Amino acid sequence: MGLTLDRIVGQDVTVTILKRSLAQNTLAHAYLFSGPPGLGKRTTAEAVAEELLRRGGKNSELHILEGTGSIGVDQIRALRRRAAYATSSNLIWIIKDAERMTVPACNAFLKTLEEPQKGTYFFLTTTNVHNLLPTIISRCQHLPFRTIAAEQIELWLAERGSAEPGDPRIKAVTRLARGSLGRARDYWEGPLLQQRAEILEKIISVPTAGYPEVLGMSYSWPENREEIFSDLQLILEWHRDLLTVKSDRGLPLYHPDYEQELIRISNYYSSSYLLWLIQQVAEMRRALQGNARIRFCLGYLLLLMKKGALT
Amino acid sequence: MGYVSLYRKWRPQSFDDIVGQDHIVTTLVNSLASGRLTHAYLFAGPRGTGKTTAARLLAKGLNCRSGPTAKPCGSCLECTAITKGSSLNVVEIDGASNRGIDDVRELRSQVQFTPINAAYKVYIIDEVHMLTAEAFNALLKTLEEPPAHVVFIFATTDPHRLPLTILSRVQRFDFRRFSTADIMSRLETVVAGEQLQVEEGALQLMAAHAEGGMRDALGILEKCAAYTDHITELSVTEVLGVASRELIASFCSYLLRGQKVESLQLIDQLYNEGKDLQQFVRGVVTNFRREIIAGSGREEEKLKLEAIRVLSETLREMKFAVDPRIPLEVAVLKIVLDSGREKPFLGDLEQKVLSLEKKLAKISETQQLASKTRPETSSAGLSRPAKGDQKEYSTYILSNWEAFLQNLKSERLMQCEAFLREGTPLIVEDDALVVAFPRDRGFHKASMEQDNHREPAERVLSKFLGTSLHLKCVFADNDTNIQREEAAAEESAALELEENKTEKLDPQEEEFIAASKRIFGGEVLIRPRENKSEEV
Repeated sequence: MGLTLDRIVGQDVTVTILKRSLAQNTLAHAYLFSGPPGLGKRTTAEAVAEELLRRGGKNSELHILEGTGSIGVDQIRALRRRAAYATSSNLIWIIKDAERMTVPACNAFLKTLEEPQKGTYFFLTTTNVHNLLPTIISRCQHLPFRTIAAEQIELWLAERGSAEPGDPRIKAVTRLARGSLGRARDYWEGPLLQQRAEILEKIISVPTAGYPEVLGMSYSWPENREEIFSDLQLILEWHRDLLTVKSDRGLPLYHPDYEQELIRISNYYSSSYLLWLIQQVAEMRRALQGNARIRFCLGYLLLLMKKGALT
Repeated sequence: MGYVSLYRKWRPQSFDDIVGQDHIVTTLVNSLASGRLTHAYLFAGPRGTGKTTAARLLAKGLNCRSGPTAKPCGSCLECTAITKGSSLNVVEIDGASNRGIDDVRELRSQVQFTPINAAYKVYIIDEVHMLTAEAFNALLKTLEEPPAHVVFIFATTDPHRLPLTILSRVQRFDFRRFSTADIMSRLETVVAGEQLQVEEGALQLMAAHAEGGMRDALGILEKCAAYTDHITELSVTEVLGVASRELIASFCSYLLRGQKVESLQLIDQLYNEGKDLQQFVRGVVTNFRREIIAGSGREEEKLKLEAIRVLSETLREMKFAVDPRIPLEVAVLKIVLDSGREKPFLGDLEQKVLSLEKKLAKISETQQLASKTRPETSSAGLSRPAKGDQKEYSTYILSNWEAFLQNLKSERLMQCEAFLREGTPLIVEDDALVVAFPRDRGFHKASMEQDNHREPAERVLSKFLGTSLHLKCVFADNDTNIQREEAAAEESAALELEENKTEKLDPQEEEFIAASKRIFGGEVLIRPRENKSEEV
């Protein structure tokens, strides 16, 4: 045991708690692991479950509720039926993305979650703890997974990829990862870095482009609802960085590899306009979540970026 | 027996153990002691306030061998059975899973059987708000007049979801959130019983973060106990992932003093340590609130109130943000800029001033150029010229053009003023003032030539100069060239169209654009592309 728990990066408190509880045999009957994706919630749950399986003997069972659909009351009732009988071995449930449980399902779960039979363990993971009923949260031992410190991600990346920790590309990826190893890996190995470069190139050209080009840009922007939010996030981060280089050049940036461009472009804007622009980006995200048309929202934003730039 | 979570192990087993819910405990104890009992109770209140616990205690008090009693012995057959959850006379029903009408019908048919070896049959229905409307209705008659040996206890976190007909048939007890002091006293008991080593400050921190729920408080204690053998304030902040009090305090003072760089650096530090930023903001708001209540200067108070307002809004935004850090940073900048310690937040205004400044610079450049080409008018603002001298009229109107335009404005001839502003006065000859318009201001020139604009303008002009003058509008270059120029303009417009490589428009639209350009001036920014087919 401990092998897989030892591999969890940057969750010292959680790992310590779980290890000590396992060692002293004081594991709680229900755990809730919360935090953004890519921090190792599931891996942790599986590591502990594996150990419990080993300890519980050959009759132990591990059930994993995963997928993307909602978890209805019937599924929870089935779980309750299985959990109602005490066994001498261990019975473990991992409920991935527990926020998928419907409200009736949650309520049906409460009694079992509060006082299950001996040897029954629940591991709930969630990316948004605010979507869970407080009655569910308070019945579990809630272990929030933390975003991982930049240095640790840098080291981890350096170990995986063949690069030095000081490599500007690693620094950029670390920033983009926002404390998540999963995102860091995706950026490092996937096409995300290239996509980001393309979008940033467009954003950079806005202040100096003519109005027709800016509008053309919004026309040609891919109308993909999956990706538009990450594009918006990029726009948001970009303006936050502009604001940051205007305030103080010592503060860390989201896009440190673009520092020269940031400094150049930040001269086009006033601080208060940037502040206002950032709020507009948030506004557009709300509009898009409300199913507004991507082309209009993005066009509006790009025009604001163009209009405010004093070239 | 295996390990049992603290909140289960330390469920109060007597009414004396219950802290903080005096209004309920007293009532229940008194009615048990005097034997004046009702047949249906509703225990309502937020999570972890002792509803289920009180329900089980009440059941024990009713069914204990020495019962009904306010002090159940905890050792008789019935008491131990209730504690273990194996009593035949105390039925605990999970309202969330047995919520249908059939479940209630089954319950009704069982209610009539008398209890075995005990005084009462107690039905505890937890999460009762989850019952369906039909189930509630099926329950009404039984609930109003149950057999004498039956007591119902409902427990719920959402009493407002119960129908009024149910609410009026039960005696309702509202459980309150625990105060920090209540939680601390209970935690102390548990700490002593579990032989844990906990610092006083750590207890306080745990109690504060439980937000009124005892189960939460015991959960935090359990986590901390699992984390370390000796629980200090520091270890609690580590386990909870919250910022220390010192950090919160220094952040508050940075904000008040307008030190935005320090504030942002602190956020960066917290972010890198993986602290919970929302929890941090909540801590900052609490800190400001405490300071305001403790009393601070008028100015300070205003700043703090504003900070609380902005941060509370930000909290909501942070909940939905991909990265909670950006809203927080924006909030910090807003507070610092607004507070006036940095510099006033003028929003759009600052932007406008900047752009005006740039424009001004451009204008003064062009004016310098213009003044070189214009005849020298050293006699600016000179008194009205003597009558009849056209040359003097020229000089006068040229140097007082702006004043004349103002005159038009004050005569409410806004349109005339707007048209003429585009032109430049050239000379007075043949009893007429010649005004030159740039080639691309054909529209303004043409409008000015219309009688309804020309005549009032001429009237004002005559008054201004003290002599009667006409207005003559020409293009800035030689009038005779107009035909040729127009053709050239058309040609260049067509050329531009081709250069832009825009999709082919039908010739009518082409012509329309070219004409608009000729008349109104300006440049073509965007054309109606043929996305009609796309839009439909």
